Amino acid sequence: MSLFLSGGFDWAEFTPQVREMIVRGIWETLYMTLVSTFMGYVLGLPLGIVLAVTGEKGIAPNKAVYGVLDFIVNITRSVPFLILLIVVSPLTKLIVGKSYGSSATIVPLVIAAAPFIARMVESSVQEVDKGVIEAAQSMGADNFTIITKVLIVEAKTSLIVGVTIALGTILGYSAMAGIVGGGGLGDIAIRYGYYRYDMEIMVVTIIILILLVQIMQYLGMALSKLTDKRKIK
Amino acid sequence: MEPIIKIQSLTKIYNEKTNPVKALDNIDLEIQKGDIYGIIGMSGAGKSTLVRCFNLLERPTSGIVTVRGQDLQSLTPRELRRARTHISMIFQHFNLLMQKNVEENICFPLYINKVKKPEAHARCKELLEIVGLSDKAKAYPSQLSGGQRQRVAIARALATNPEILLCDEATSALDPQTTSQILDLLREINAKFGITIVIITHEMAVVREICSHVAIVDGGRIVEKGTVDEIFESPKTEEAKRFVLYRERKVTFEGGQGI
Ligand SMILES: Nc1ncnc2c1ncn2[C@@H]1O[C@H](COP(=O)(O)OP(=O)(O)OP(=O)(O)O)[C@@H](O)[C@H]1O
Ligand SMILES: [Mg+2]
Repeated sequence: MSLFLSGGFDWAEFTPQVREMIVRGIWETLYMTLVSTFMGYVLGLPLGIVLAVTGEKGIAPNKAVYGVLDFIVNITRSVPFLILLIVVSPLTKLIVGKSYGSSATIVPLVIAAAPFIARMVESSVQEVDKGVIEAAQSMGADNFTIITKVLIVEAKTSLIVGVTIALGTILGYSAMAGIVGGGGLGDIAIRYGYYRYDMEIMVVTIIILILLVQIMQYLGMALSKLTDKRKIK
Repeated sequence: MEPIIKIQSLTKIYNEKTNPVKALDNIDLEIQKGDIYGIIGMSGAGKSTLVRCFNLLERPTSGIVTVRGQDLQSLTPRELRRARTHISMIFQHFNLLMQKNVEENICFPLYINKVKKPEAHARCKELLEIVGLSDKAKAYPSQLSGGQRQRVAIARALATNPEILLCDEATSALDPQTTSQILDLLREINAKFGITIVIITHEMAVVREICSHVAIVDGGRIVEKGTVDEIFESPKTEEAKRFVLYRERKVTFEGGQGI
């Protein structure tokens, strides 16, 4: 029975199998989100730092390097995720061995996340006070030291906020991948809600998705506040 | 005696290609070891640009910058970084690492110079004593007053035993009383360690209080330079006269604040 037909919420829908499926969906979603975010940062953090450093106002401006990276990031960013999902599926198959399921979804997720993470990192690093960078230069610091001991350190709070945003966005993307059988909660919501009109299961999965995003936001923001030494506590 | 800082025909033009601004126009200047040299001028006169050429934070368009006998522009990047450890700088807005505590800030230049941790901590302790902040080692800059932050910046600047300390409006963000305390500290550092100090300021009172020499900068040129006594007793150029008299009046009427 469905929510809208019966006019009430039918708990009978939630058989042990369904509950088990939802729990598995939660794990799959967390797995996709966390692994993709991590991999996204493995690529996006250095990329973002290079963008910030070689940019016009960076510590080592380089038009050629910046131009190429900026172009790549823009191109990747402008492809809608669903299209990217389909376009990279041959690559996914090559890497993972199949083009459906949560492990397969990680490939397009990382490709979509890395440039977007790079942009956030770039902007966090650009926010670092020029005066502090100059002070480090006046002490004789080389660029590597400035990156690791000044830029990343001073941008810390903003970078953590970025991670929080990335987690939320990537979780949303992972749910979108449900349309092509991407696994996780989004997959469940689409299979039950869209194809079977099973509103109870869809609503519950959506609520869980919202809760997951909220929890991540809360933890991320709390962590960034906790580690921020700029404000007097 | 060979001057510790020697500037010859220094010219700096910003945005040469697009819309050129001549910030420095054929400057010659010599600063002797142990001097406290004031550089005074109106806003936009080119004071910061000049001093930033002393450690090549700003690259001159033409001219020669010789510091401690080295022609800075002839150095490799690595040699320049080495040279900079002898030329420290403090700033109007302190420019401390806000996410690091006082001790970590002071140890930063030592880290750059690959000083071992225990040695760095010992040095940090000494420096905190010199600037009178021994109880603040673990505090973060956000927990300190402006005067205390500048003391941390001074300690950090002294960490590598520099021969020169450049101060770009180091007291402009501080109240008169704190300014006076910081100036006392600078004077003490000059006397005790023989560090040559270059002070950029808007305030004639600052020059009066601690400088041995002064150069008056106007429109990218040095219009007059000499010992503080000379310039105050008998300013030669119109600019210097106007400057000295105007500033004097300001100081008398407004209680040492300057503009
Ligand atoms: N990065 C820059 N690009 C272009 N023009 C600049 C730059 N820095 C300074 N200028 C210009 O050079 C001139 C001298 O500037 P400078 O900062 O040296 O003056 P100043 O005497 O230190 O002034 P203030 O007392 O306001 O700090 C000004 O006309 C300024 O607009
Ligand atoms: Mg200035």
